[in-house]
Amino acid sequence: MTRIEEGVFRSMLIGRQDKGLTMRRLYAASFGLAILALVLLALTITNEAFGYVALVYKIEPETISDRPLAELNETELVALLVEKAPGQLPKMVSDALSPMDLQTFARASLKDSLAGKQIPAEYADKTPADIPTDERASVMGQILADNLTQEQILELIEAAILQPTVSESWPLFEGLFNRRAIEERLVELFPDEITRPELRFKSWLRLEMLTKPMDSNPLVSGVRTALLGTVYLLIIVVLTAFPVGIAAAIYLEEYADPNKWYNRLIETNIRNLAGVPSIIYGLLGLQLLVRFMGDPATGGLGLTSGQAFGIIDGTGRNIITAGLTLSLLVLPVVIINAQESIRAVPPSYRDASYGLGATKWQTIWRTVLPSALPGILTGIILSLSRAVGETAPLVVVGASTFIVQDPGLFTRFTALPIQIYNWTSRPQAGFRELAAAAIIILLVLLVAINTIAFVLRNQARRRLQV
Amino acid sequence: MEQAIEGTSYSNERSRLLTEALGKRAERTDIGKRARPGERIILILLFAAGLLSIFTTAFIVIFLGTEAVGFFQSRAWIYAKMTVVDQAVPPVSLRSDAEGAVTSTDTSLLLDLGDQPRVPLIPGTLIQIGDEIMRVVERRERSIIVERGYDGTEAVAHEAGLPILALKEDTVKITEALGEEDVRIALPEDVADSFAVGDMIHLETETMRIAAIEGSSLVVERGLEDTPVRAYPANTVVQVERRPTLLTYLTGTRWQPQTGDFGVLPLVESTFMTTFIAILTALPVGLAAAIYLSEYATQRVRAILNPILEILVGVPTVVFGFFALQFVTIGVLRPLFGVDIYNTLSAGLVVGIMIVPTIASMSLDAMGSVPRGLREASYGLGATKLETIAKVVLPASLSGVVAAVILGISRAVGETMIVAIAAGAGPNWTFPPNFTVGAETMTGHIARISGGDLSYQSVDYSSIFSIGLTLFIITFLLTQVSTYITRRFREMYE
Repeated sequence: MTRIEEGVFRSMLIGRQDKGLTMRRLYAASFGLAILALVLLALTITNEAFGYVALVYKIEPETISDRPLAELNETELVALLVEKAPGQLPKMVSDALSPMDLQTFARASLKDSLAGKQIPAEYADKTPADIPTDERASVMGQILADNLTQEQILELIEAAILQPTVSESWPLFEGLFNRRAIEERLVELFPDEITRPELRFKSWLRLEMLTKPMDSNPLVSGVRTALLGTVYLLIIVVLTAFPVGIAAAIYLEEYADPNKWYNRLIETNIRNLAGVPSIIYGLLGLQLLVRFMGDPATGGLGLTSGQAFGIIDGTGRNIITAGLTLSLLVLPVVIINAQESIRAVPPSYRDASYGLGATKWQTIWRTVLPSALPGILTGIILSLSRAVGETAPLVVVGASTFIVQDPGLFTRFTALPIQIYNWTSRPQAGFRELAAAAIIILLVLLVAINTIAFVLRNQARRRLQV
Repeated sequence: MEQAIEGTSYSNERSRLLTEALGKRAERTDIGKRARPGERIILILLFAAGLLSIFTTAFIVIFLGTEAVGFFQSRAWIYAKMTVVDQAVPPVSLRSDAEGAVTSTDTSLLLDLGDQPRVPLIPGTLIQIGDEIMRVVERRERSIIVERGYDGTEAVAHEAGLPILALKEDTVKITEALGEEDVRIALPEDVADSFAVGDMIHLETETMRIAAIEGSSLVVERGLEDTPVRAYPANTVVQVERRPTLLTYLTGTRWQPQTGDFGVLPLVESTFMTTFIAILTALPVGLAAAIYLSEYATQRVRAILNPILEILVGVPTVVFGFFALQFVTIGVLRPLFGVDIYNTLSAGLVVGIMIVPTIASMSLDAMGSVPRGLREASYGLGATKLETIAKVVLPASLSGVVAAVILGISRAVGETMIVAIAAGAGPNWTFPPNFTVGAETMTGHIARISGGDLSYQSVDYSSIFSIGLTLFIITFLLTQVSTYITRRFREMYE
């Protein structure tokens, strides 16, 4: 063996340690990359969800009034509505002020349909259908002017008369830092200075999105139907996957004899199922739930399409099949997590319970499950979050992309991630931005679910400690 | 962990005491092991819940299997000699109008040209969307005017986003009218060589078998398979039968059910292309993250860094898909390298980001179970921390890391939304693999095809199940290998 001089050894050692330090920085940098990816993700979404648009109006705002619209008061604005869109006024009143739908509204007296709102006294007992045609628009206009703010009426004018469409849209940062290029592009698109649209800031994320249904115009489209779809799906998952999953976990941990082949099979099988791609579950749902348990017209049982319950036009492509498919998908994760938490309950708890004379089931129900609850809840957060964001199985099971009516159990449906997917792949200006806004809503929903579950879990934990 | 160990010794002690006190009766008297009669019902319910998972697997296997068998028995009637024009042109797709679809009577189709408006949709071209053939009457900048339901196909509604195939117009048509009694079909001069004796052909709905070929005409057996025998005027289009076979399925490099091409390789290829890029991204990052967390990070740093991985796990894949398209492709790759708007590179990179937490957390587990003694021994020999990691910890946890990577591959192969959004919508075989152009993966194809209302009898319907079966087998094998390696590895130190 060769001997190394001490000086040489020291300098080599410094080299080795330097190398160690460099690598350590590189390892730490991997987290830098992960953080960078997350930051870029957040920036991309913000960049798209807010931005600048060039709106083209069907009727230019300048042509309907001499003064800028924003300077007009309520009465003047309503006068414009009465002049340009008299036929639409009853619908506006019904949409904006009355809880009734348009047809009921037309046949109900104003004092009933507009209870609590200011209405001209002489018309209070009349129904909109009673009012003579030539007066109807002005009466309705009067009601609008009395009850709405100037901003709300401006919105109505925009939707009914001006009818803006997005001609071109630019993301936030481009609008902020590259304004000149955008203006040049505008000049190129609209050489005529008079018709050239103004560049406006636009937040695609609007609070009304939550209450407005889908629309083919991205400026007014909302996510109400999609959000409802997602909430219904969550309810179905909670009602089906969690009881079944926890039951299976109790069986495997408390009753199953691990030496029996069938119990081992169930265990291995659940672990394998956890690795099956989600789209395969979609295919399972499509064949089993949509086709074989669905529409009798195509040879199904009519269970999931509703024929068995007297619903006529169900196809099986609905919330129920989609929800059950998601349940099957999250079941393995729920079981595995619940098993781990049940396993972590010390055996002495069980014996103490037996010692007090409790039966096996009483022990499980009153001792084991409460102690395992915080862990089980954590598993539930994980699987709920997964169910909320899952898209592929819903696409395969047959989610629709354009739903205006609130979904029922047996009707066609859509969900938030489906809407994001659909809007992302649309080429027209405005839809990708809308997708970004929907993503923000989805992420807020996810954060909310996680927070609720986090609080629940902490409470459960605290109750145990007392 | 400690609790579990304590639990085991507690249980042992407990059963020892019980046996001591009660002898052989211990087994029967132990109340913790027995359910009371009334509780048996509960037990049965619990067992049923456990059994559900077995049914899930059984149904998956049965459905994928039977539909895949159905796929190989299915037949498609193809216009003889009809081929897709120019595979290099990316498939043009139907652009969505306001309501997102084309009705059965629309004659104006909006086009989504991607970025390459060089598509030969000149007037006169035949195009195919789904099963319907249309003839282009007029080409406008962003739309075409078409004649619907050409060549006897049915004009039906179409979903937005479907690819439009441009076809060469040389369908084979009979040159003379065919009477009910005739068995000789007259064809144009040079097309008889595209038929073979024994081929099944279709005239409208009638099935015939070619008994002999004489010059430019075919001698056929009429009215097979109980189809009605009728008379046909001249210029009726001849269709030939095409069946997917296991051989063409596994070796074919073109997936185009409309023209009878059922080769799954383009789909498998692009799946592995995105997976390759994903692993190339995720392995170094995930492994480095695991090393940092396991060997360097203090408890406090861990508490800060772990949530980052958890957030990455929690981001829905459709959001990652949006990111891949809007940022990675449009924001970075296109300005820098001029890639196509849909490409496997960007999809792969983002799938990589998605699987970083998988690889990191599994590798972390593996490194965590390397005994402390091994590290101490290495330090004792004078090794630095880095040398200990590289020469002791990593080799000792190698099998765990390999298992993590395999599980990561399995995740990447099964990932759908990122590739459906960012990788492209149209099977595309490139050899050597070209990462800058769009190509549809297996999962992406299933998602796109099943997007509309598929008829349960169509070839497309059964084809997604056969692709699904292929996917299932691949991921199942990968998961098995990963589990096997993990198990082997666990035995090493316990």
